[in-house]
Amino acid sequence: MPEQKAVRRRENWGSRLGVILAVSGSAVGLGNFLRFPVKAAQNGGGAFMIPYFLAFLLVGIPLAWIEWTLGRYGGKHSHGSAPGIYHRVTGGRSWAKYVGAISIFVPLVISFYYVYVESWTLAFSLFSLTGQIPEAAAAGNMTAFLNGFLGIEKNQYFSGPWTALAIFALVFVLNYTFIYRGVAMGIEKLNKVAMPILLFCGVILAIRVLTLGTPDSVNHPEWNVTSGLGFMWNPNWADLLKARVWIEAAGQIFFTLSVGMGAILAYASYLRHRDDVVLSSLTSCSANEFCEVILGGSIGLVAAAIFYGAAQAQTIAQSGAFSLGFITMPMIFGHMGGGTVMGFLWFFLLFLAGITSCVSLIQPAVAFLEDELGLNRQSAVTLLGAVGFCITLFVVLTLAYGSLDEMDFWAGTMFPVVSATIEIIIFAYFLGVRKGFEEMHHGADMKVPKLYRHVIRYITPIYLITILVVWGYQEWISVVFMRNISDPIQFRFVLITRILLLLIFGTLILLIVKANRRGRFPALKGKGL
Amino acid sequence: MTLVGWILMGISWGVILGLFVLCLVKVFRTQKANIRAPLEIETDD
Repeated sequence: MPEQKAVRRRENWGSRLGVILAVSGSAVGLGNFLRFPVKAAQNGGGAFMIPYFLAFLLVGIPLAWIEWTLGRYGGKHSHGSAPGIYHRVTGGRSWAKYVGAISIFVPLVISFYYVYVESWTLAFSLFSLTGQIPEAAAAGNMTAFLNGFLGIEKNQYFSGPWTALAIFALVFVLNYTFIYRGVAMGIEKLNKVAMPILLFCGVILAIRVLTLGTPDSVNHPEWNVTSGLGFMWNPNWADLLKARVWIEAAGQIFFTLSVGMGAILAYASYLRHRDDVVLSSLTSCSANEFCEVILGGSIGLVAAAIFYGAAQAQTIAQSGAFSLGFITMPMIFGHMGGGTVMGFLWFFLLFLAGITSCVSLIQPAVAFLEDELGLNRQSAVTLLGAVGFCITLFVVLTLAYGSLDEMDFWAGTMFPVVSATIEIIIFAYFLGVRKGFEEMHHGADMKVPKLYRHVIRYITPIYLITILVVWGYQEWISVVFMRNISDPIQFRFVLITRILLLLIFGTLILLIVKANRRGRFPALKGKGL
Repeated sequence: MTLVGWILMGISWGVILGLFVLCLVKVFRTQKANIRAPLEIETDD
């Protein structure tokens, strides 16, 4: 079938800084401030940084370069999502476009629940200003406050999930409005405003925590900034002998850089073909690391160790990232001078990190509908918004029965690793490292060290396959076979969630078949780039 | 915090800050007014 001739003119980014901020905004999410400190504290403290930096160099940076390169190449051929890009770079292999469905499925499904979590952060930033959170924190009722807000229980703070639903609706519309306005006018403008404010909030919070001194010098003179930093950074070298620590470090790098999610592919597809990808990609990665290690590593758990001591901070770390962010942090701000403002800055920072990530998660599906099915942007966003609202409503109403966790397992944990593994295999073994590097260096403002040819060909795929095998064996099997669920009602809702996910994936496959019939994936006779 | 902890934190912060600043400086120096031809790269493998 002949390739469709009348391909609409695709949008471009307005400026280089705009695309760098947008990709940084995509990468900097809640995990930078909540997941990283928890993972570091649980896995050897300062010693964790050794496997973390190795994974950054051997997995994170190469994957980011590959995604930027493939994305820009796809944009040149009017493809902004993985099905079209994989079809092109594999020389038209029939399976490639269907495999690409994973890179639309992953970000789309994450966006369905991420937007809800994002709305909590906006709500909590407002509750910080109105005094509701400081009051609940002072009474030691933050768990009840959070559960009441989410509708898990009725209490003195909330009589149902209505406040959460109203703020969710507002945040949902806000997210889709930015996407509706387009790449340059919506997403780029959002990131140009949100990212500097996010950095400002992060720097203010980090400075506040690092200048706390010894808050309780009478009863606990040993609880101070130095011991707080020590909690994060003192190395436990014995942990380096545990395979789990190395896998956790690679996993953290993988998730924090948003690789394997399809978002970078979509964003890079709006570059011009002469635009640099090597330096821009490295800049986005380093901006993300600045937010994660320097800001994220200096706020949450450091403050917890300063106010509650190292032993209690370890318990907080064990209770997980959400508990740290939404329960412990408000209590910490309650002890802090200027705590109301700091609480607002904390949750507003999380909100900005959330919204800039969330729009990047929706964009791959929008690009797919526009590029492959010929919908205009407004129709594509409206359609996705309608479907997304219904599915997110399902998540909101079934939160207590594990639907969010189930979606997060498949789309937020397992499939991104699968997706990135497929991506690097396609780049290294179907496209070929030599051709791939030629494409990568087109218009490049810096040269990728030759060593990375070998890294991309051997080390990164091995790293990713190891993560897949180890996590698959240690953690995923019990979840896949639902061995971790004993409650029959939860079992039913998890099953319904799985059927929903299958329907989403099946619909994507059908849409790829439809795009194929429209001539969007023509025969290429084995010619890649 | 132990001395090793300080050293690890210093190195980590230094590497990240150094990379971030270096990248930003390069980005602002290489404005698109100076568009270059695609790099000639060796393809010896």
